[in-house]
Amino acid sequence: MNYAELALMLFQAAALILISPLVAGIIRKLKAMMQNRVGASIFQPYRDLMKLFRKETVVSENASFLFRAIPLVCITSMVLLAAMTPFIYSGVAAPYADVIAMVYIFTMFRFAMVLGGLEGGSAFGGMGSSREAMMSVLIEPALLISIMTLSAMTGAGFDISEISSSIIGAGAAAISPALLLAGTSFLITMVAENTRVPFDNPDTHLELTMVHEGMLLEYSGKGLAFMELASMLRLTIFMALLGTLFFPWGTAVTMAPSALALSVVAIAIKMLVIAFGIALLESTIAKMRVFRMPNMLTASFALSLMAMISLYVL
Amino acid sequence: MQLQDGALAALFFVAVFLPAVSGITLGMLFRSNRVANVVASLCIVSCMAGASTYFLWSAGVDLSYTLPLPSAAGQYILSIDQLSAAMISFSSVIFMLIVVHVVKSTSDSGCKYSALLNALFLACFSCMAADTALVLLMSWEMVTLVTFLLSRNGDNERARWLFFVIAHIGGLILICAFVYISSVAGTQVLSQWRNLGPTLGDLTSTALVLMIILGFGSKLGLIPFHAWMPDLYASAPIHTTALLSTVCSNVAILVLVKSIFSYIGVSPSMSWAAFAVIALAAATALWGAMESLVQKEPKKILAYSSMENMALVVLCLSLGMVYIGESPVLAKLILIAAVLHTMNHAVFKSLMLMTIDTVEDCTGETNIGKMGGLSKTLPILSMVAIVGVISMAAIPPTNGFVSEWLMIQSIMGADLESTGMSILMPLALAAVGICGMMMAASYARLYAFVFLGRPRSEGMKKPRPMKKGTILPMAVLALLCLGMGFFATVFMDVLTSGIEAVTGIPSDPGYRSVMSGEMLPLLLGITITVVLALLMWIFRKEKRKERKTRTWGCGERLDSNMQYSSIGFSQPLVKVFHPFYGDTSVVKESENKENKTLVMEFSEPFVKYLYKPVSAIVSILSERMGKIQTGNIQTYFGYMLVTLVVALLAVRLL
Repeated sequence: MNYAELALMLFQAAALILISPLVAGIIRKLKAMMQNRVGASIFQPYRDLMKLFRKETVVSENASFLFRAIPLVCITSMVLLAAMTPFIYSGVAAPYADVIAMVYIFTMFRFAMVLGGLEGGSAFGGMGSSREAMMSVLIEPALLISIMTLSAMTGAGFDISEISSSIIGAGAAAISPALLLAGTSFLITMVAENTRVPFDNPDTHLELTMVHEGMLLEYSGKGLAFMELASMLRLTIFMALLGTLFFPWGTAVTMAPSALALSVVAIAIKMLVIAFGIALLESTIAKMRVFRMPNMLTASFALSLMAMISLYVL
Repeated sequence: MQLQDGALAALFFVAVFLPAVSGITLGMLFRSNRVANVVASLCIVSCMAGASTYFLWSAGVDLSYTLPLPSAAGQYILSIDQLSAAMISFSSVIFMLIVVHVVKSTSDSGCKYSALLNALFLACFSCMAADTALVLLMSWEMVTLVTFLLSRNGDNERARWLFFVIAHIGGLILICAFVYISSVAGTQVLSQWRNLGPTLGDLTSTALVLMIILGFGSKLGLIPFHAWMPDLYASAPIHTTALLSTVCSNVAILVLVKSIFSYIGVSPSMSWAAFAVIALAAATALWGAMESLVQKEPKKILAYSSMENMALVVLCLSLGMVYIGESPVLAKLILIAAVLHTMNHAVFKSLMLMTIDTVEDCTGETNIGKMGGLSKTLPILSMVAIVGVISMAAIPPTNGFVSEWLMIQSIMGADLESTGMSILMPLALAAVGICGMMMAASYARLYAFVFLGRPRSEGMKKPRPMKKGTILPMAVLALLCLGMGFFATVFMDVLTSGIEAVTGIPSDPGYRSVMSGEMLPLLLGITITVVLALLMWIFRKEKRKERKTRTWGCGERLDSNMQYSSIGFSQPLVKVFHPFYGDTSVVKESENKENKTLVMEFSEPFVKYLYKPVSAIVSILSERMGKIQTGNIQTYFGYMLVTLVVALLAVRLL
């Protein structure tokens, strides 16, 4: 690993963190356009975050030291993940870029969120945490297995930076039932993990249907800014993973400038397509009832399991 | 040099046994509290001697000793190999920390209790160091007996006896297995049992392996032997359960590894048995995870968590049995994962049990539904507890994460020839994944409803301050949780050569050739710490920008019941997995039959549908049998005469 490569990897991690509010803004804008509204500027999330950073923090008198630590733990886990996500270039900067570690860092995020929801003893937070716990029991195994399928399929071991290059290297032969099934499962996981419609509505507050927003209710000021940024980052990381691990064509595997330029264009198109898909989904279908969610999540789990079994059977 | 070695070994065994034996004697003779402390201190001295085992072993001292005492059933030999040395050292440290907590907390004190602690240490030590089947079986029996005596706590006779009976069913199976093996092997000396499989025959050795797994499984809580765990954990003194679930499990896993992989040896024909054990272990792990979600007492949550963790270890061992024929180096990795997880479990489980003991001691509350808000009143305890909880939930950078990470790696590393085995791997992975997440939810519930939110009862509002010094062993364990996470490779290296010696897997290629990211735990740990510290430093608290206020409750003033309850928290999961929980809502009528209440109750179906019918049948049979017991001495002479005549006839005719 030479310095230019390291610089590129660090740059892509920084870029991922910096564009994440933009991705959220684009999804909101697309949604507004589909619903015949003008909508806020795509840069609105940056302004929101800046505003939140400057505001005062209100802390519940029932909250403990964890309440202040949790936003930092959440953002730390997402920064760690951003450093291990291939985005423009297939290599990653993180020395701990291991697929299993990736799943467990997601678990770390969730665990912190769940505890955060129960801080302060608000009824809404508890409800959000309880539902998040239910969803995570079904989501995380699906995530684990679908990502493991990739590593087993490519024979790349657990190193994230090897996966996309070996899929690209295999060419069209890589499009196997296992990849398609695992990709579909990952897609459902992405929507569920980021608590988008139909699993949850990220735009609502104070509805009895909410999961993710319920856990954020007690946060304000800087803490809320961190939590919001962490959620935006999580969505962006998932989109990048879908675009570079499950459908890696176009991602640069060499340091050639032309390959990198192509990769930037490719990942931009991929992310826009995914953003369009999410916006379309959120504009056309309604949120599910809470207890309908497990059916969908179990389907995702079954798909990922089938993907892995198909690796060995076919 | 030879003489000196022998003298050192003798000195070592004296250092281990003498304090503990004198502790037992003192404890039996006296009753005062001051003597109780002396007795416990003697146990700590023994533990320290035990902790030095590994260092003596690596200094090249031959740690073996034969008791010059003739016995009809065999010799009394103690001999310590590398794996045992590592386990003895580690378990002694855990044992010592628990005894320190006993002394400091004084909730389970008294001369008798401390004397029994000494006895338990000796039993565990000699079980791990045993070199003849006689010593092994005797000390295993001692472990059961002493824990049975240690678990006495007022009105818990049912739970104790259930444990006693189930542990003895396991013990009986073990005695049968070991006696049979020694009759075939022609010797009692365990270190001379080496790959007896071919001598025993395929079918017999498979049956023996299954018997040994079930025999130790009765202590580890494999289905259906787990029935004793929740009740005993809830009712026994907490230090007893801490020792039972950590040190005794270490003993069981160590002997299990040695029996399967060294004494009997794994042959390819055992794979179906290994599959059966994999299925059993996965079912146990899932059952433990599901049940732990709905328990009302923190101790029971930890009981089911022990069951789940030990099931994962057994799962790894049985996967190791599958791997060993195909890819020995992978088998080595999964065995390292198994033993490492056992050790990690010992650390975080003893930490959590001590935490819960402190909570119950300070507040007098045992129901999690009545707890809450302790992190405001006992902040240091809550900080120690959060380390234990994230470690149990396998969150990086703790030790729990490292062993689960290793497990998943070694499950995924399976690139086995036959498809039957390969299909199994995704299923094993799914089981580990689901269990892991369920347990994480359960631990979040445990921590949150004890420490977060608002207090739900009077005892929780004004807890008594912690007893002086109780935090010390807990803090050490919390540091161990982190240290064993950061420096996992050190522990893995120690275990590797021990496991190689036991299993006979060649040391080349090393386990690192099939493992990815050997430096990962350390790097990940450092990165997390650095990023977190950096962020904390950049965004350190600015007082003027922070305001304290009530929790928002739609304008309502929230009282202690207006927050999520622990049962409500796991309700969505109960609803999703409702077929496994069965009918949970029970209508209860009040005594004057005026009003009825709907309550949620989770009962163990294994007790209801397996143990109760069996015990009913046994009672009926023994009642029938009882009819021949007339109490009349003439009748008994008659029975004797009939027996004698029948026996003589049988001998003559056959």
